[in-house]
Amino acid sequence: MTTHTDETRLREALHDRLRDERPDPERIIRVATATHARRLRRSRVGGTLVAAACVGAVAVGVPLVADRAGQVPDATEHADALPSATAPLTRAEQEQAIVDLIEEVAPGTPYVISPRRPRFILNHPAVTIISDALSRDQRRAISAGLPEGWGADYMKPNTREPLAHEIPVTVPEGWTCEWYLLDDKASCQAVDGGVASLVIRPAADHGGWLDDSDKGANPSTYVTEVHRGIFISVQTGLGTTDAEIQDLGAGLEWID
Amino acid sequence: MKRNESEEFATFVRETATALHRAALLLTGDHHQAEDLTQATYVRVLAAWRRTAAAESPFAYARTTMLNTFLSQRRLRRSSEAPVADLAVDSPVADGDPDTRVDLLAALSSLPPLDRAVVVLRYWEDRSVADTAVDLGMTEVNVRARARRALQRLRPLLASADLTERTH
Repeated sequence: MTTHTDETRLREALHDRLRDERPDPERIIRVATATHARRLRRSRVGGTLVAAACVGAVAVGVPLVADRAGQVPDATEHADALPSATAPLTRAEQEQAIVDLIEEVAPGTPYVISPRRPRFILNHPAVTIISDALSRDQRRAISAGLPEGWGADYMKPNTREPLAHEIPVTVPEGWTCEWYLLDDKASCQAVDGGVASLVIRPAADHGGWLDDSDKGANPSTYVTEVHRGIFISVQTGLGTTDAEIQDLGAGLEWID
Repeated sequence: MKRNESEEFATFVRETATALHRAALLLTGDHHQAEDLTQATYVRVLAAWRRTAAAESPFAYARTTMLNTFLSQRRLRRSSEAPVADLAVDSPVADGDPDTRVDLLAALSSLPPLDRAVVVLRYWEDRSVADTAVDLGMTEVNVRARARRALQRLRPLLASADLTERTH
């Protein structure tokens, strides 16, 4: 039987536990606005593609999309940026097509691609293109020329250096990880579909992570030892048990 | 979207992001997933901004959006989750040993998604049983049953917490 005291205790415990949790509202605004704008663009481009199909167009590439959308008047120079859409592209081909597209639209411009798939936001693959040198028109041209179904976020480079410039650890057999070193993170998936995340953290935070149950001192998180100024926290995700997280963490091996 | 609508949305996010993010953390039990869920919620809110802004309570609209997003995602992934009965047997919360500190978020994450949603609405948002039932599209009896089950599961943890006993 539950009591009023139980309920009061739970209320207090919840508020006490989360008192220090604060998101970054400016980032939320930025990403939400960019995602919304991208969806609007995609819906306009989708309408244009339907119209193009009606007049017998076969190849669906940047110039067709961009010109008919009226977004990028000078995009005809990118006529071969994407392969024909008459045959489905593999994921690797799509990613290569995006690289080719950026090189065509903004030759010589420094950029980094983070091929991230947001778990909740989109049902479509998306890339994060990090550059402080792409113009607005170039961003528009890239967005309009992405393979069908893809989206893109544009971000400025971090002012700070990533904690690791190369993948710092190997993962045990049965796990595959996709690293986003600029974000100090990796998203991992087990063969059975369970997911986990790795976060690279500075050594100065190690003690706090070992002691704080909100961070590393709980069964669903594994904290590695410090190695060359960093450590890694392994956190549970959907479909992953605490024991699997502990095994994953214990199986990480530093790459020197 | 007009400029003033963008500014309204930005203001809304600044005013509500902390509350929604904390609710997302209770629902997901994971910081990264909470960030994703919060972000996904605001993307949906922005896509329906005029409807949101016109709602009697824009925050309640956003909260409902978050719950729907969370529950729909959980339904999609349901096949990978362990049966509730198994969780009840294996739960570390049932231990009750004060020396074994069990994190509240981890304990919550062992509850079924709908039970977590009930906990968030009843004990985080302080919604009534009737309002919770409406928000989640279930009966009041069901809300009470889920809340009772959640409290029973969490009681050992609450008993070991350093909280002042209330007498009222």
